[in-house]
Formats: sequence, C-alpha cells, structure tokens
Amino acid sequence: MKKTLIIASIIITSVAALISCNKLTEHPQGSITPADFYQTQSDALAAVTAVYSTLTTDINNDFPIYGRNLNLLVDNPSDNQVYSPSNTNPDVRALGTATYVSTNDRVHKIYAQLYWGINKANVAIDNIPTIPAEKFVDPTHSAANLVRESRFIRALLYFDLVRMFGDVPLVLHDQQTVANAGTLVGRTSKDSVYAQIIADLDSATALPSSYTGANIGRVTSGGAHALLAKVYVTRQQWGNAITELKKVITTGTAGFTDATTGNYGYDLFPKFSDAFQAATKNGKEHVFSAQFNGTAGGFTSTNTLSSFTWSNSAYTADIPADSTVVHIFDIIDQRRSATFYDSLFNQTTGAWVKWPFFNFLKFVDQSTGFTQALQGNQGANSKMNFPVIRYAEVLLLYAEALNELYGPTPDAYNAINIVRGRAYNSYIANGIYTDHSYDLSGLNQQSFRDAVFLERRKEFIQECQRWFDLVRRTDLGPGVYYLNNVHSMLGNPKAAASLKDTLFPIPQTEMDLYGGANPNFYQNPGW
Amino acid sequence: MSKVDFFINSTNFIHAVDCDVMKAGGYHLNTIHMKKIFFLFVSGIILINSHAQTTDVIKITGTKFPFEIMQQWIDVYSKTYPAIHFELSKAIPSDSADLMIAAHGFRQGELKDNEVAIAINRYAQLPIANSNRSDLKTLQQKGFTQQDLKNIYFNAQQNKTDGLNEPVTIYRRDKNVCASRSFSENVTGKQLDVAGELVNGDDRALSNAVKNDVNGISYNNLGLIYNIKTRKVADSIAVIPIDLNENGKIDTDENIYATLDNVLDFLSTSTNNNIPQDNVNIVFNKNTISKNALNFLSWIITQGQQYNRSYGFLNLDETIIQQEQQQLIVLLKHINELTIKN
Repeated sequence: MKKTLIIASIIITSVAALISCNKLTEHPQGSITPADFYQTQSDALAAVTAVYSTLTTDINNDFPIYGRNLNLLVDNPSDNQVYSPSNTNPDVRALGTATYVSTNDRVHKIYAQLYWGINKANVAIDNIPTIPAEKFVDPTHSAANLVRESRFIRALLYFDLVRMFGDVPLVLHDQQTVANAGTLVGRTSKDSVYAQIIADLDSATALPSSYTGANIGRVTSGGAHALLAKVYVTRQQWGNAITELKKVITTGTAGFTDATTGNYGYDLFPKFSDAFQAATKNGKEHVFSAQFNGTAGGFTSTNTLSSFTWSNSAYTADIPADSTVVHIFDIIDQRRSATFYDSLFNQTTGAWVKWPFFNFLKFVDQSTGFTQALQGNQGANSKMNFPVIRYAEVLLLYAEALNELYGPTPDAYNAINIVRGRAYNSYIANGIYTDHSYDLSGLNQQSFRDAVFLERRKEFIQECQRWFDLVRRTDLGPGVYYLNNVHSMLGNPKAAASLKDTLFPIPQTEMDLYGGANPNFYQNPGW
Repeated sequence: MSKVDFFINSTNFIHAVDCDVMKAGGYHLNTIHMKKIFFLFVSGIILINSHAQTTDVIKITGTKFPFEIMQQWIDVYSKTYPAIHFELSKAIPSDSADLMIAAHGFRQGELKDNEVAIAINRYAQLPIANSNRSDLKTLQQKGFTQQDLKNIYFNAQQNKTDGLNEPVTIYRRDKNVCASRSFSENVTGKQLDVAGELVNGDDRALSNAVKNDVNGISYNNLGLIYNIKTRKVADSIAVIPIDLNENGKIDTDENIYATLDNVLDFLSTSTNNNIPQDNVNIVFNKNTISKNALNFLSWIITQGQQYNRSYGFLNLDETIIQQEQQQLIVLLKHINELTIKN
C-alpha cells in the first residue's frame, strides 16, 4: 500500500508541477490526466526536461542522485571513501562500515529516486508520441528525439538500479492509475532488464551528435554509444563493447593501429581538474554529464560532494577512507593534487592551515580561484556538473575490453597510456603526449586487468564508480575482488563485508508491500 | 633529546654524507666491477635504443645492507613503470649517484646546503653472540641493560657484565659509519667507536666474525641476524636480549626474539626505546634530483612500505610519511616551476 501511495503521490506531484509551469488555466486540475496534458512541442520538451531533472533534484529536497546520493551508495561502501567524523547520520555511517540493513534510509532513497526518474521517463515515452506531428515545429526537438533522450535516461537509471539491486521490477509505462500501480509487482530478471537497457540505448544512438546554445548538455548519440559500451563491458560482452567504443573514440587519435571512427571531437583536457570545474563544463572530455546550474541551492548541486560549510574544525561530509587512498597516487600524478587537499586558507590570518587528514577537492567549485575556494562557504551554489561518463572512461573501457578479448594489445596499451599521459602532465591533444616515462608495457592479461582497475580507481574517485568496479569483476570468483579490497583497508573498517554486500538489499518498505505477502517479490541473497 | 626526538628530527637536518661506500675516491675498481660496469654500459645502450623517449637512469649507492630491499623496490616499481631504469651498485661513485642510502640520522649542519635527506624506512639492531657460548643461557636469561651495552661495547676496560663468564671478543666495523654510528648514538648518545676487534667489510662481516669465533660478540641489524626466509635466527648466531625494563632479568614479555616477525611485531607496537633503532635515509642533491627520482622515493615511503617486513625492516610512522611526502612535493613543485620557466 505504501508503494501505491508513493507512486500515486509521484504522479500527482509531477503532473501538478508540469501544470503549474504551463497550462494551468486551460486544464482545470480536476479533469487533468497526462494524456490530456500533452498537446504541444513545448509540453513534450517540458516533460523531457522533467526527466533530466530527476538526475539533479530530489522530490523532497534531499541529495539528488548525481548530487550526492549515488555517491553515498557507490563510494562509501567501497575502499575509497567513508563518512567524516562529524557525520552523525547512522544510515550514512552504516554504509561506511558494511553494517547497513534493508531499512537503511539511503538505500531506500536511491531506489525511490531511480524509479522516480524512470517513471518520469515512462510518462514522456508513452505520451510524447500522442502529440500530433505538426506540433513539432523545432526540428532539434523532434518527438522521436525527445523519446530517445527519455529512453537514454531510463536506461541510465535502470543501469544504476540493476547493478545495485540485481533483478528489479521492470516498469516501462506510466502507472496512470492507482489500480495499475497496485497490481502485484515482481522482480524481472537482470538479463531482461539489461535487454531493455540495451534497446533503449540503441534507440538513443540515433540522437544528434552535438547541440548548440541552450541545448548543450542534452544526450547525444556519442553519449548513447559510450553508455552502451559501458553496459556491454559490465555484461562482459567485450566484442560488442569494442564495436561501440570505436564509434566514440575520435578518428585519427594518435597511436591506435586499428582505426576508430568517432566524429564527436572528444578528447582529454590536458588539465585533469578541467574535467570537473564549472568553467570547462560540457567540454571535449564530457560525453554525458548531470547538469547543475548552481541556482537552485546547495542540495541540488554537486556542492554536497565536497564542501558544506568549512572551518578549521568542521569536517566535510565524506572523506577519503584512509591515507592509503591518497598514497596510491604518485606525487607527480596531477590527479593527486586535483582530487585531494590537506590545507585550508584562513582568511583572518592569511595563512594556510594544515588539515588533520586529506579531504576531497575534486568537486570543490574553484570558480572564484583556488585560494578563495579553500577558505570555506564556497560550495552552496556550485555550478559544477557531475560527469556521468567522460572520455577518459571511454579510453579505459576500450583498454579493458581489448585486453579481455585479445590480451594486452598495442591498442589496449595506447588507450590506457593516453589516460596516464594526461595524468603525468604531458598531454597535448588527440592522443599525443610527450613524456612516455610512465607508459605501461610488458604486462600479461591478468596484470593488465589489475592496471586498468587501478587506473579507473585513480581516475574516478568520487565519481560513483568504485563499488560498481569492485563487484563487477569476477575473474577471481564472484565477489572476491570486492572482498579482497575492502578487507585489506587500514584498520579493517569494513570487516563486516561479506558476499551478500555485492548487491544492496531491496528496501524493506518494498518488501513489506502487500503485507510482505507478494509471492513475486523476494529479497537478495543473504539479506 | 630522546631517541624518538632524534629519530623524528634527524631527517630535517642538513649535513654531509659519511658512509663507507660513499668514500668513492678510494674505491678500487677490480676486474669484476669493471665487467659489471661494462655490462651496465652495454645494456644501458640497448635500453636507450629500445626506449627512445627515456634516457633517465636513477643511480643508487650507499650503505649496503638495505640493498636487498632496495632491489625489491626497484623490481616492483619497474614492473609498474617499465620506462624508468635503475642502477644499484656500490661501484657508483657518490658524486654521480642520484640517491645515496645512509642508515643513520643526521645532526644539524651535517648535510650540505644542497642536500636533502628523506627517511625511507626503519631498522633495529640487536646484540649478538656465537650460539655455542657455554654461558649463553645465563646471558639470555639476564639480558643486557643499557649500562651493559655501554660497558660491553664502548669501554674496553669494563666489557664485562654479570653472566658473561667466558672470554669475550667484541667485533666492530673498521669504520664508525651508518649502522655502527647509529648503534653508538642509540646506546651512548654520541658518535663513539665500539671498543673491539676490527672487521673488514660491510655489516655482514660482523655476523660472520661472530659465527667463526665462539667468544665473539657483536651487534647487527635484524635483516642480517635473522634468516629472512625462515624468519629464524641465522645459524651459529644467538640474540642477546635487551633488558627493556632494566630489572636485571629477561621477563616473559621481554622475550620477543624467537622469530623475526616477533621482533618486528614488538617494535611496531611498543613505545620502549631501549632497542637501538634508526631510519634508513636517502640523501640527494636537491638541485639535480629528477622528478622521476622524487616520484620513486614517494612510492617507497607509501606503497613500498609493504615490503619492509619481509626484509626485516620497519615501516615509517604515518606522521613521518606525511612529512617526507610534503618535502618531496615541495621539491617537485620547484622542478615543475623550473620546467615551465625554461
């Protein structure tokens, strides 16, 4: 019953939100249905904007999916990150010690947020095609493209869901009525969920390759190919992944023996921190990002990933798990100084004050300058985007897929070494870098795999990747890579981690629906 | 200044390196060394040809006993960074080495203005005797107090103590350098020569002298007292325990010498300073050091620490790691600024 109420409230709230922005006077609330609402291209556009907004806002003004909530679920249970001493939320702390349970508030929140987004996408996908074709006067936002964008977001959210929870209810249509939503839901096999994700992403590969003006940041065909490749890598379908990645990697990139055909102009920023800072958002490295504009306040921005209110005695929300996370970086690796800081600037004394330990710097908005940013209170209106997939990952996925299929080929080395070339400060453009001192070579398939996962760890701190990486690797046996890593942390803070933690529990509120008597619904193993 | 203070401060001081192998002016290059150098020279040419972009070779010399762990670090590091090349040899003259190993602390003013010392790990030293001494059992039950150490090793007239009933021959290095200097500073607080028979060679020779003389007593670092594979005390050698609480006998909780790991476990967790300990330092010229060498040092003091135990060394404390890392980062920034200006 709770779920039906939640879904009903979501529908009512979302429809009300759309009405309030658009056609309130023409459609009295008492007779509104989603089908009545969709009349014009701008209605369709508004619906898709609402789909995108589920990545960056929360219905209850909580941390949005790509603001901090997914990070809490994917980084705190990993060996990268933990709650800070000042974080007293027991649900957040439990994620950091592998002691969370099925009633964990954050687990429930992410589950609800992902379905909230999926529901909005379903509404758009179902209803946009009902709008008469002649209403679509702006060719940039054809009905087909708006549906494709919605299908991309739906795929992205299902990809997060299926990786976190395994089999999940596959809801593909607007739950228009309480009666529809109230039918006994069941968990769909993850294979079927993945089939839908792939179908949705396939459709999105027909999107435009780029946008201009206010449309920059919308999903492109490049984004769809890249995410599709990531899905294939997760499924260990290496050949399919390589096919997709070759369409994304910029044609003519130096060093590849096998030609790539990407015409998106993707490239790495020579300066690693440009991949995150507001001034360089939606740049050449960004394949798809959650768009934060910094005007909606602290909770709807990336600020909560790094900043809160700082002083010399207050801590940020989450911190590196321990000093070894910093020590995996060479001191000449620019990612080290772009990812962490250990000093704050005291405005009163004009001196830098050493912090007791390292903090995350990656998502600190430095629009006002580095010193200004590190003197506190700068995060509330962060304009930084959250990179969902960026070109460095495309290259690392390519290295991984080639290695899995063929062993460490020259192209596999080239892909990972380009990323390292940037990290070691000599990247120019188009795959060209000048200092090859830190190139990898001479590895076997196993050690190359280790190198790829280590490079991913260094590259994607705080970017909602590490736990997914830890649990998706199965070459040592299911869950072994995850357990080996979290059990070797300093002080063994995740001693409680076990095989069951390679999936999150289905939230207890969902299990309790229908008095807990839904025969189609079951908990994950061990929970 | 307590031992701990000295240990912490020693890395900040500037001084001149004074280790045996660094006296390169008098080093005799025999035929074998010439062959080795020729081999290194030829292989260097091959490597330069096969890695055209990189000609950077990091040359390392200095105190011998940490060579084995240094080679392990080089081997592991080279797998991760195959384009970085190393030479580790006592034959490298000190003025052409990039990194020089020194197994003692530095007093203020000892390092030259252009030299920097970075701690890379820690080591401990223990008194040793020939395992066939007839009074060994008594000696091991009593142990050595700090005053015993002073008397036995540094006072030729009084190198006797209760329980030491058989004749004694103290063996010492021919030069008061590195580990020997550190032993002296730990025991006496000064740089004194051990009073005893001179032994030519490196620290390994001290153990060999004791093995070959039933009356022999000396001192050595853990990696040369214990067999690092079996983790047991090496054949023909016995450890004489340190009387940590100075009560005239070795209590059960002071008997920590059965295996190398027992000693290391104790030293890693205990705050007792009575067992001589020191940092192994790397000394280099801050004006000529390369960024690759700085990065290698940074790697040693972080990821490289995991190899210490197997070679009988102790990890640096986290505060020292942070402090040394910061020194390396400052130097690296300086190099980067120079590069940008050029």
